[in-house]
Amino acid sequence: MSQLRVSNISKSFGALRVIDTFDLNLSAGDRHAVIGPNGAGKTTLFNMISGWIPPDTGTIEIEGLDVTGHPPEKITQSGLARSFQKNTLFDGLTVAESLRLAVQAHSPVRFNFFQPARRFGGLQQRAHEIARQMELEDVFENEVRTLSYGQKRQLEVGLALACEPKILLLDEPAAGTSPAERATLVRLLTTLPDNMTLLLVEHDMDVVFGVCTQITVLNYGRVVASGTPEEVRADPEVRAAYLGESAGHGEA
Amino acid sequence: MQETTEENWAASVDTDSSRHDPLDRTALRDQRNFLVISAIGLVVLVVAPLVVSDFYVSLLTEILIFGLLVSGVNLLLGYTGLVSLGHAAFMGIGAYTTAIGTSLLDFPVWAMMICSVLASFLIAYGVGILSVRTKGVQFLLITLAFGEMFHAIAEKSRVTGGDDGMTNIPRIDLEFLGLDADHDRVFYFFVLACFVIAMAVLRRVVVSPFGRVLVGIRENEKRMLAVGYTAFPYKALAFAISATLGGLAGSLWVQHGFFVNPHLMTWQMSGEALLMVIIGGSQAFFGPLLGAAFYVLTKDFLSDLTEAYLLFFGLLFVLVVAFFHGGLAGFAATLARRMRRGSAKQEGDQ
Repeated sequence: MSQLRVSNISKSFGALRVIDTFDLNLSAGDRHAVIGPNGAGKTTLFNMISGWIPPDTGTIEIEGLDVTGHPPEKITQSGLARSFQKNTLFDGLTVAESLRLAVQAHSPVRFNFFQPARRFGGLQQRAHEIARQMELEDVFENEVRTLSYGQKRQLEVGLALACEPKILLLDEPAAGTSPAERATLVRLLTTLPDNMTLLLVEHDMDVVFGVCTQITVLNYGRVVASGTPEEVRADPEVRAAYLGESAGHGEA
Repeated sequence: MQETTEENWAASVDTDSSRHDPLDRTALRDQRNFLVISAIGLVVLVVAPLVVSDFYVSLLTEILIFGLLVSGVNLLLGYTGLVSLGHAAFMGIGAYTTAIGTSLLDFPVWAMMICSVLASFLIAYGVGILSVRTKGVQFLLITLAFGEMFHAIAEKSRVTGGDDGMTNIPRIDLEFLGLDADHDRVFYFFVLACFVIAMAVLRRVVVSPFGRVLVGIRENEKRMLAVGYTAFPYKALAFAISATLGGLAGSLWVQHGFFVNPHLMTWQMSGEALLMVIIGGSQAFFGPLLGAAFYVLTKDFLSDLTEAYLLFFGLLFVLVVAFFHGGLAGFAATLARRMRRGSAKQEGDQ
């Protein structure tokens, strides 16, 4: 059964058609990347799938359930969590507090307003597990604003992961990272549970080829090519539009 | 699949074995600090009225009453990150509910105090539902508009004496304890009891999962939505709880002064409540009480010297904001840290 089915969605801002009749069908455990030059419509696509902007046409289904037009929090509750290209974190809280909040959002205690939260050890335990998984254990009690940029990117992914999603959308997780930080991220992303579906927007080809097995190439809101990394790399239109003629591991 | 995770949750959340998880050191340290500061504060608040003159007992009562209002404002400003310019209206609603019920309808004061709390909660919940969908300046203006609306109603209302307000409002009857609340010291201890209960409830709220959500909304509302929270009901409830403290403060205020007039609910009053929060320290649980104390005492001291006390109050405010990060509470915390470090160093030297 398809876990995420995006059918025929389009979006225009004024006269500009940012996404033109886009289709995507992901099954549980897929590792899919959407790549394309700046302005190709990748972030708009993500914002539509995660509920931040409604599509003009088309439908979005999560596990057969139509979630088109649902607000972001409802989409997350339906099992699809996302990270942001630009760090969107709780700067004044610690890593522990941040992750706990994300875990708590999916626990029945979230409306409890009269018992100390520290009594719910389950929240803390789960937050700690995520921190370990995202290699943030050493900075668990530190304030988010004191983290290195790479650690903040790891927390971005961690906060989405803490929602226990079936489908994880990562918006350029490696944006602005150093090569070493990027290597860490790739390592962390390859350890995600096998049944978790991953949809990735990314500029960095090392990350894309290191993590994903399926790639869709977007240009001016249209799908230019789609397939395995090998197929996409071999596609002449892609080489022209995106990877550059000399492409092997080309930079965007 | 969904149901199994829910069950797992219930299991991991409810079992006794998961309680007091040793990893949550920040919360435990915070709780210890809270208990120590509360104990010290309570001793001061119990002993102070026994050693100062009648006049200062009255000022202390005012400090506690404003402390209630301002702690409520801080649930919004400090914890949730919402700036309301209409909170004096809820103090007014509490005040007028008690005044009307006791002096016009002859209900007992204790019953009207409960009504004041309920009325401010319900009205604020309604106002909250309508206002918390907006943000920033819009939120500030919509709360200002609501506040002024209630102020206008109080000014125009003939039954409550319009601009002149109402006088001869009774204080609570404490005869069953063999006490007379008309004595200022007795009334002070009654206000203190209300204050302690209200602050204990507020404390439960801010350290609860709900309270943590409010802090998350302050830090980054967008991310809260992304991780799956519907922010709106949390903000509306925070608004109502915050106003309820104002309602209780209002009910005590009319008993304290035996009168009420619409001046209590002007937007200037709401603004001064915000000043008290910031002077006292919005990130600290007891910061607002310090702010209220600073406000009442300097206002009293300055108004003895000059008519233009607000000018000096403004200057003091600027100084506090510019030099004391985190207000008076932040300053006290820094001082305590330095002293601890200093004494640790001395011990190390010996």
